[in-house]
Amino acid sequence: MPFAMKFPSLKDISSSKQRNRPLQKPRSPLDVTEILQHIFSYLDEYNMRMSVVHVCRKWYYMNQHIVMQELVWHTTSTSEDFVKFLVKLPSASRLRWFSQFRGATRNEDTPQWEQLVSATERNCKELQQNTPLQEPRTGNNSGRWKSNAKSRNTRTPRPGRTFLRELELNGYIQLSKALADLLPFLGSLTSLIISTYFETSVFMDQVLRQCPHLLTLRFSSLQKGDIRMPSPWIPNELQHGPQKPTIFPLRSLSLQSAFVRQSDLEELLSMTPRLYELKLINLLRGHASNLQYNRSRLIEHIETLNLPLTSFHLSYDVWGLMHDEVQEPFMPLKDQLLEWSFWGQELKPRICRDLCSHPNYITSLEILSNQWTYGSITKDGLHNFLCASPHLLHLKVPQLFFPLQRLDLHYVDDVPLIDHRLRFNFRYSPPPRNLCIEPGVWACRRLKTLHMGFHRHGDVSIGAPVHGRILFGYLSKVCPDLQDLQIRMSDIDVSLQGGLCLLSRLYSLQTLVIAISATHQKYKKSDLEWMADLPTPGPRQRLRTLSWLEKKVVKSARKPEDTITSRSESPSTTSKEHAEEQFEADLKRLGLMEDVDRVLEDMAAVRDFRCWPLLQGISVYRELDYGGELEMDVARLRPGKTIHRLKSRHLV
Amino acid sequence: MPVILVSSDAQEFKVDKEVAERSILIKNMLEDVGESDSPIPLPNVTAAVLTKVIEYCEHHRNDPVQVPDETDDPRKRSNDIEEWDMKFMQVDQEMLFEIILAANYLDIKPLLDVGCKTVANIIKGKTPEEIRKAFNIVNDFTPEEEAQIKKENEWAEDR
Repeated sequence: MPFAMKFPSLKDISSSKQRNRPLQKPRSPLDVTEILQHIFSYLDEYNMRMSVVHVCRKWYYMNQHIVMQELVWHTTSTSEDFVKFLVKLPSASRLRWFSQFRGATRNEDTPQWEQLVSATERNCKELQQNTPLQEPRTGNNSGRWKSNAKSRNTRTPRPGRTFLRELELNGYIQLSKALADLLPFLGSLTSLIISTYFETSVFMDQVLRQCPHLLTLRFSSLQKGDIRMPSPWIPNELQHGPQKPTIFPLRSLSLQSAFVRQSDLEELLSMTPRLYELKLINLLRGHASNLQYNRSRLIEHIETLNLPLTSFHLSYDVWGLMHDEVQEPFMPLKDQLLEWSFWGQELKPRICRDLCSHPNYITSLEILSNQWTYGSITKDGLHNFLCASPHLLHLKVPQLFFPLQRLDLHYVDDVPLIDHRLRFNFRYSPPPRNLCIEPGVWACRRLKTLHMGFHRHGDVSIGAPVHGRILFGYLSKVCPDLQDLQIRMSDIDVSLQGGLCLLSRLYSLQTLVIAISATHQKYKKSDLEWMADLPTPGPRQRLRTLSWLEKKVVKSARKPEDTITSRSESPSTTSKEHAEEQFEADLKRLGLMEDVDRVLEDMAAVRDFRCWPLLQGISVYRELDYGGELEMDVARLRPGKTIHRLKSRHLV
Repeated sequence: MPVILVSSDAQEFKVDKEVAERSILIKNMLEDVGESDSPIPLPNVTAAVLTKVIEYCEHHRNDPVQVPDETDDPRKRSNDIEEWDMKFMQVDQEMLFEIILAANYLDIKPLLDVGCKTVANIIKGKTPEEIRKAFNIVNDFTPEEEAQIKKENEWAEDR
């Protein structure tokens, strides 16, 4: 009798699969380690360090290796601070070093640098003796959770000592010497970021040999300097040795103002199959034939490699190039890129027009530059682009002055009598009518990142309170989802009249940096109380008082249009149309004291008002001043959140 | 061709095959067996949860199949959730957790992703005590351990 084949039914399959599972399903996804890991992967470093590892033992053991311990050093700090720095160094997984200009003394010849090198060497050797070198973790890759959390814990050198995983050197750094000193002890490095003001050389083969785990590599020459990167880039032993082709795990590569031999670059790219970000910014051309660039060949090479690029930038110094040779910067690889970036000097009006006419799907735009830009970019292109780009999420133009009149929707600033009492210290000069700029509402209403400077029609000063209210009011209403806001080199009034408190509407704000260029701005300490970190009866009471006081000012100001719906009359905000009406009505208060008054009232009305609940860092400071009074007042109000103004310091 | 799914409380759901196949578990089961009218029992998913899961799969029936993330690009880990998905996830915490468990069991990665992002968003900006309270987690640190961990991480504020 033949053997009767019996196929399983779906019910059988399901049941058999069930036999291999626990009888009882978990009550919560938080009980399932894999799901918990998945949830943690969406949290940033700040939340992991400040909250997650403190919740319970399990969460601590799962994450203690992911949390980066960052150590920052600035060479202008005191020698006492340096002693503390050295004590903490063995536990640091990320080091950021900022070097001030020291005249004839090089950073690499200072006792501090020598002690840093010695301490790094000592730490590295002790770790190698006591602990097997672990595969460095990226902090974001999906494979990081594969090993058992408990076993990781038994192997860890933390909390007392750990390998340095990320290094950032900024300022007056002689790269060739600095890297020769440190590289032998940086085998565990996953990120190396260097910005230098000096003319210097980088020996790429040494970097790749000593740091084989690098995921991020960035070299930038700032302002006058340039970086020479001589051949070979690939270490000799890897070029001629093993049969198996060498693969570097690099994900992000950025070179700015460097002399690069194209064949070296192409060879490296052939060995980085996981590269998703490639930025070749203002590459410098030399007289030698091997320091010229063939753009078409490079693009073709990259396309052949099929790299998973989502961010790509290629620009080189255009000095001496014919007009036709200036590149079309955003054309290559346009189908796979989500982020566009341009070199400021390349942005001619024609390219700006093309930018606006191109199919608009990009989510990230960055304009890189080594100098402040007013010019034609802002006159037509950028503002029009923003008014027509609903998908844009990230805009970084930190060295570009944007004309404030573009945001002045109701010409509040153009009415000479309005608020004239508050125009003290302001060099007011109405623009000629024939240059008047039409304002508009940006379409990028889901913008999360904005780095930008602002000016007022040829006059950098925007110090009158009305300008602050226009700027802050506009940003808080048009871009309410902002998470990262940096306003650079602006002469903004930070008093209550200036409306800085309007930014309290940005509920999702995580980072706020405002660099004020003027030193004459006046403010009272009470002007900043609204941002106090912890709600206490004191600030609330003050807010009420201030709110009452400000009403006097409102009486003298222009009243908004009668069409504005009062908040008490407004129907449910679930209606999209009504939300749009409300949005338009809100914008009619732009620049008026009533806008400030309302936001103060709102704060006072909320019990235990908490300004910026997601805030991770804040810095409001005077860019050309070391006094620090303003910065210290902000630090007093947001203890533990203050970002040091390191970038501004090393510019001086 | 419709497929019949049976929830743990014995309720039957008739759904299009392409909708059901958003679940990799069900897709594999159907491929293993071939053409069949037999109902598919899902003993780990209640009717209420299965209703939500089917609603999600119906809405996303034409989405391209998600490919594994090979780039390790951290920006892909942002908490950008589509508007419809955000509204879909506006449920009480018990249901949110049930949806995540069902997505994990049924192997529906996009649904698992959006569920995990939602939980991550709940965690963001909260203090450890607020997180414990939100998720009913017991603080099992000793006071000494708590102080040690605080010390380990407090220098982030002191830089």
